[in-house]
Amino acid sequence: MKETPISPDRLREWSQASAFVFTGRIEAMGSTNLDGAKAEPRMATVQVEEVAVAPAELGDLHGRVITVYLETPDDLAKGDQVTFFARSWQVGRNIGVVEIGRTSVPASSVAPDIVGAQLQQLDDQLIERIRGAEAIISGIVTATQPVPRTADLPGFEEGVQWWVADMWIGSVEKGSPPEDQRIWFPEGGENIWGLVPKAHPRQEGVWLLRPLGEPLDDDEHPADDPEDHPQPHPEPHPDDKHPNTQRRPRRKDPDDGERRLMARQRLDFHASSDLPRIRTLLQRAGQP
Amino acid sequence: MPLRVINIIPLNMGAETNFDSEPSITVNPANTQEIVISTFTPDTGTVVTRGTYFFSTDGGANWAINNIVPGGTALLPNRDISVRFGGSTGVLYAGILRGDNGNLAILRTANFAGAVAMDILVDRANDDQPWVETATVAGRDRVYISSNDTSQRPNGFTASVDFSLDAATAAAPAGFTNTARLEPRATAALPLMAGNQDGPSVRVAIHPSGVMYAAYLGWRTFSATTSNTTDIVVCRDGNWASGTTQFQALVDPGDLQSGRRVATGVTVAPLGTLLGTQRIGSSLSIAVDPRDSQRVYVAWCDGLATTASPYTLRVRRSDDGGANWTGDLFTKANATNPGLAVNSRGTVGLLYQQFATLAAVGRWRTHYAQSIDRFTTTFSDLTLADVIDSSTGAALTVIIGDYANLMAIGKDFYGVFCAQNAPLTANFPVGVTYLRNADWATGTLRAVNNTTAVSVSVDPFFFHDQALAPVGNFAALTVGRLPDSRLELWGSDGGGVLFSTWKWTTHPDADWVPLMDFNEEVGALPAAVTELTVAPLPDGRLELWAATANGQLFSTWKTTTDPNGNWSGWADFNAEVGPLPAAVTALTVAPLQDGRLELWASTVNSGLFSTWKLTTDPNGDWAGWADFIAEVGTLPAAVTALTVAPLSDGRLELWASTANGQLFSTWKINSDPNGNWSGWADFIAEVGTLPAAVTAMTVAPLPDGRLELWASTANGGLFSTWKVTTNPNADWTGWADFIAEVGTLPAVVTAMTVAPLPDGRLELWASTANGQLFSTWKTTTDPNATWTGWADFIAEV
Repeated sequence: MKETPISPDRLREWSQASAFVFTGRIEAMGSTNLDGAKAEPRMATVQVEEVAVAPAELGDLHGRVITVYLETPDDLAKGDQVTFFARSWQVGRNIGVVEIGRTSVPASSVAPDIVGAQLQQLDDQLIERIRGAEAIISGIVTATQPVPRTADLPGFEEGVQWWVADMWIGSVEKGSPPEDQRIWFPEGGENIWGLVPKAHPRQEGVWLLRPLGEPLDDDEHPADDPEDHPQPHPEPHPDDKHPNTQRRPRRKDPDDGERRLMARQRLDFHASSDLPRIRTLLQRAGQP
Repeated sequence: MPLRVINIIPLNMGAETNFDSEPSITVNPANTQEIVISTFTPDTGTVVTRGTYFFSTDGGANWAINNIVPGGTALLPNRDISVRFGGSTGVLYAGILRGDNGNLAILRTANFAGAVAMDILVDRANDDQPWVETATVAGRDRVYISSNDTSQRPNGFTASVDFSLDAATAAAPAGFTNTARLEPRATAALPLMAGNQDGPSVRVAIHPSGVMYAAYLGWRTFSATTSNTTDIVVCRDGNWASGTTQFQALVDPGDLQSGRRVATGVTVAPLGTLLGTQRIGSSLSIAVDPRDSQRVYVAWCDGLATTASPYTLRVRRSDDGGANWTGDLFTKANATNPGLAVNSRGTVGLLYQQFATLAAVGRWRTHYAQSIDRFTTTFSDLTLADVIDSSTGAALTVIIGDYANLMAIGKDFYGVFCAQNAPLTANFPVGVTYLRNADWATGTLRAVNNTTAVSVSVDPFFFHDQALAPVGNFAALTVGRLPDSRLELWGSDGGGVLFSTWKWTTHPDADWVPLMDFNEEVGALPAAVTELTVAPLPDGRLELWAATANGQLFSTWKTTTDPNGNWSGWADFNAEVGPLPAAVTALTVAPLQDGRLELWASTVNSGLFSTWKLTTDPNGDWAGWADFIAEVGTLPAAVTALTVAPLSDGRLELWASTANGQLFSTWKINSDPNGNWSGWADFIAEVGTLPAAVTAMTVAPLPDGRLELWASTANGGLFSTWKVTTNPNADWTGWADFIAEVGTLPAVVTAMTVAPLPDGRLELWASTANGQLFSTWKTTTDPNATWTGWADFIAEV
């Protein structure tokens, strides 16, 4: 294989799209070891020599022979040592991947950059969640209970049962929820509702909260409806070490004008130990 | 039938902990080694853009996951999904709700194991629970996607079937321009003026003739908190839904609307209701008998999942194309996820999952039931899995899924269900194979390295109920009457397997149960069976003898007089009675006048021996082998076939064909059970010549007591003769050409047996040299009645 260095941009692009990054030696071109797959010129069997990224559940891939569905067989030959960036294809008695890109640089050399790119991707995704959050709080779940099913709740027709988590709020990182803000979460319904983090008593963490909706609803910047809000509270000063820990008013009645908020996706809940990271990303997001 | 259950998570996914629920299965009819199963299983990689399915290319022994279902996101690979292969094209179709936007997508690939994403043929918003069924006609795939098309909520007619009559190769939409609306009646109003709709589950069943059925849950009232009022509705189409109107062939006599209401106004738990940890509220399955387009079965669940109103599975049947329906044929409380299928012999399979509480712990018990008599009774109901119901660790909210799936190809059933995967032997009563690492001693799952412990979760389990298929020629056949007059038939095939089947009920026209491996019940024999014979002991219990290719002779008997009682293990008969001088070439047995059995065995060294019970005690000892030649007289050559039966006065008559092409008989000369035998009489001289040497013989009494004897010949002939009157000493007719009367057979007859049905009509079986087995029976109880044409018995059982 010709020497193929890789630009930082390309490395980032491939890293963020790849479930596999490994260096291997081509055992055979136009070959496969997968059940049911018919050999094609675009396939190659590759013995894995170095692994930078691979799904943990597949175990150690060192020494394994896997099938790569190539972008192109051009410039490759038996015996070549290549670093492949790839996504999943098959996992059975053997493993198959689909090439996204390749380089002659060994995986061990680019591994730190790959990990950096993937962590950057996670940060970028989290920043998007932070930007779209109406409120971000840290705290402890004190109790959970189901709420009566009413037709205005999402997933009503498919049988979603909504619950609320009563909270002891340790800090408010964004927004101005009342002191007794509750976190809503669904049980049941179609599998999409399984994406929503559930709450349980004594659970500690950081929640990125949005109005009730389906997990994939695209309402990252929800409209502000004053009818649904308690009275606004003063925003914390950006220089505050611990944003908005001052006492905030309670709702007069638990059901009176409650702003129904939830953590919609897995990225909307984090362990308490992630709070410093959330705060850093809040600043990077330009949001106090 | 051999039944195997396999956890399909591959070894290389050994650390997988997803709750892989809500499965569907398809087996390629053109190559049953190719099987695809869909579940809610995410991609193995962390960067996910596609959904998945599992596939096998070796009949289910090994499995792989393939990530080629489009429309996934990093969060959700796909929502609802079902899969079907085309009828003969090998093209795989899927109906999904996309992971990214929830749209209905109809997908297709000609290479289910390949790396290229499935083609998107249709992509539209607002739909639910797409379910695929297919058939191939003249090389064209007819594909039907039933769903609850919620885009129709403004008018409420949501139960729908999208279909293409030629979907295999054309570019999108590949003929999916047709949608049949099934629902003509007003449907349930949803809150907040969201419109009206039916229940989520809509299913189609296809008969090879083009007759099709569709079933749906016609929601009439909706409540998210109390109950839904539902009609169970079945529609029919007579010709592949190819006419100007579709699925409107059935009209309900009650309201003259299309779609027959099998049940009206049933109360069903709202969709959010839990049975254990699994939500319920929309459970439906339908299947049509491939032998009879008018026979259709439907299963659904209703009830509120309370003690007073348990969520109850019901099965009903129509024998007239859905116009009229039986009442409940099968019910099971606290059950869900029914899957119905009918195989090529008309056996109905039913998969269901029943919730039970044991020691205050909820369990899901997955059952696989069969009925061989149109669900008049249940033939078997096996528990495939009995596992803890737990959502602990579940990322998804459908723990075992809103459905499971059963299908039939030929006589075989294939199914898939989802269940907790703790590797505990007791959880899988019929056995199970795990492809992923599991420590069965400690009940622990292991990762790929076979060291790291892995949390339990829910996995998909494939099962295959494979019909026994005789191989090669039948070496021997015999049939006997159980104490309740039901017949049981045994046959040994060229592969050394000893099969049996029996009438399921005492009705003369009752169905036969599927072929069973008799030795699985009784125990192994040292070699293939070469000869068989059976007869009732004085108390009605059957005793069966089997000679084996290694020269031994064994017997087994019913241990009680219960017709369904167990069989003893094989006993070495020669060890009890004494050795024979050589291997057995033929066997026959019959009761003497006092009920004691007498057994004859011919040997390769031209011997012929008999033994008999010494007393009328059914458990009495046998006499030592007596030299029958010495008693009755010599024969000109070695015996090739034997048969025996009582004359109308109870005296036995025995026939022996010899290697030189002759046929002789002898009979008791008086009614004394210990009386002497006549000398050998030349039966050919009495009845007439046969065109060739006898290859097999059998004999039985007609309803009036007259014997009829059959003899097959080496030139492919089959002849019979019978007593002309009921006088036991009456003459025999000349040989009649039985082939001419009943019909031709494809090859020379190699074995025969005959016995009276419970109403006295004889049924005769004949195996042929090309490995087939046929039967014919008297059309009425008149002793002189005609015979039916030959029926393919293997196809029946």
